[in-house]
Amino acid sequence: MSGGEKPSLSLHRLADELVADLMQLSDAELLAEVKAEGLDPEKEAARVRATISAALTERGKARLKAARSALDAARAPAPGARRHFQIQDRRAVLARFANDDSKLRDRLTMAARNGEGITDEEVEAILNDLRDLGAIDDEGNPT
Amino acid sequence: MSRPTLDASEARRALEALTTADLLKLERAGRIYALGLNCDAGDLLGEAIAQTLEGVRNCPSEMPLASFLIGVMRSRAWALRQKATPLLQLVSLDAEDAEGRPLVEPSSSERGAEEWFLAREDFEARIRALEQLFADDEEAMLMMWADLDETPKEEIMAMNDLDATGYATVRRRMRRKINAAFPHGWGR
Repeated sequence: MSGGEKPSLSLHRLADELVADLMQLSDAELLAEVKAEGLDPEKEAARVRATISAALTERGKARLKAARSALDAARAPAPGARRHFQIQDRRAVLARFANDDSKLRDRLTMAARNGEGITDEEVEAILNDLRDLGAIDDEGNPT
Repeated sequence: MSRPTLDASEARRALEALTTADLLKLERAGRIYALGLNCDAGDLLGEAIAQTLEGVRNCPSEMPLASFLIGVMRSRAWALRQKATPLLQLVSLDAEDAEGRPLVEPSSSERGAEEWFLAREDFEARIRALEQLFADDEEAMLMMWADLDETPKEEIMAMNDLDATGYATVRRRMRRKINAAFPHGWGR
C-alpha cells in the first residue's frame, strides 16, 4: 500500500470477501459454526435482538422529540409576527415612554396637532416595536 | 417504474420476523465491516435500522431484509473509511524511527493530520495482528496481502494455484480464524 492512501480503505476489500463467505453459509452451516465455537446460537441471537430493540426505542424517542419540537414551533409566534399586547392602558404606556423619547414625543404631538390622533393599531405597532427592541417588557414596563 | 419498497411498518414487521440465522449473520457481518473503525457491529446495525425505518434507505420488497441491512452496514462502513482525511506525507530519506522504519511527517499542520496518523497506527497494528494470526497459514497470509493491494480474485487464484473451491476454502478459514480471534469484533 502506498503511503498516501487512506489506511483503512484497503481493509474494505478483505471485509467484503469475508462477508461474501459468510453469506454463502446455509442457516444450518452457520448454526453449526456458532455451536462449534462453543456459543449458544439462541443466546447470541437474543443479543442482536436486544440491539434491534434498542435501535427501535431510540428511533421512537427521536420521533417523539421531533414531534415535540414541531409542536413547540407551531405554538411559537413566527418571527416578525405581531403579538397582541396584554396591557390595559396602551396609550398610557406609550405616553410614559414618549417622555424619554423625543422622536416619539414629536410624532405623537404632530398627530395630535393634525387632529388625527393615533389609532389603536399604531399604538399596538409602536409598543410591539419597543418590546422587540427590548425597551419594554410584555407588561409595558421599561426594561 | 420504481420497484416497491418496504415502508416503516413493513420494515418493522420484517425486523421482528428475522430468524436466528438472520440475526447471527447480521451481527457477524457487522463485526467484519467494523474492522478498523471506531464503532462496533451494534453501532453499524443500529444505524442501518434507523436509516431503513426513516426511509433514508429503502429495502426492495422482494429482497431479504437481512441482506439489505448488511448492504447498508457495508455502505456506512465505506463512508466512515472515506472520512479519513487524505493527506500527503513527507517521507524522510535519512531519518528512521527506533525500529528502522523511515520517519514520516505530515505535510499539513491541520488537526486532521494527527488523527490521520492515529488511524494509520491503528491500521498498522491491526495488520500486524492479522499477520500474527495467519503466521502458520501461508495461503491466508498471501490472500490477506493480496486483498490489501486490491488484487483481483482471479489473479489471487492464479498466484496461489487455487480453483474456485480452494479459494473459497481459504476464505472460510480466514473468516473463522478472525472470528475466533476477535469474538467481540475488531472495531475497538
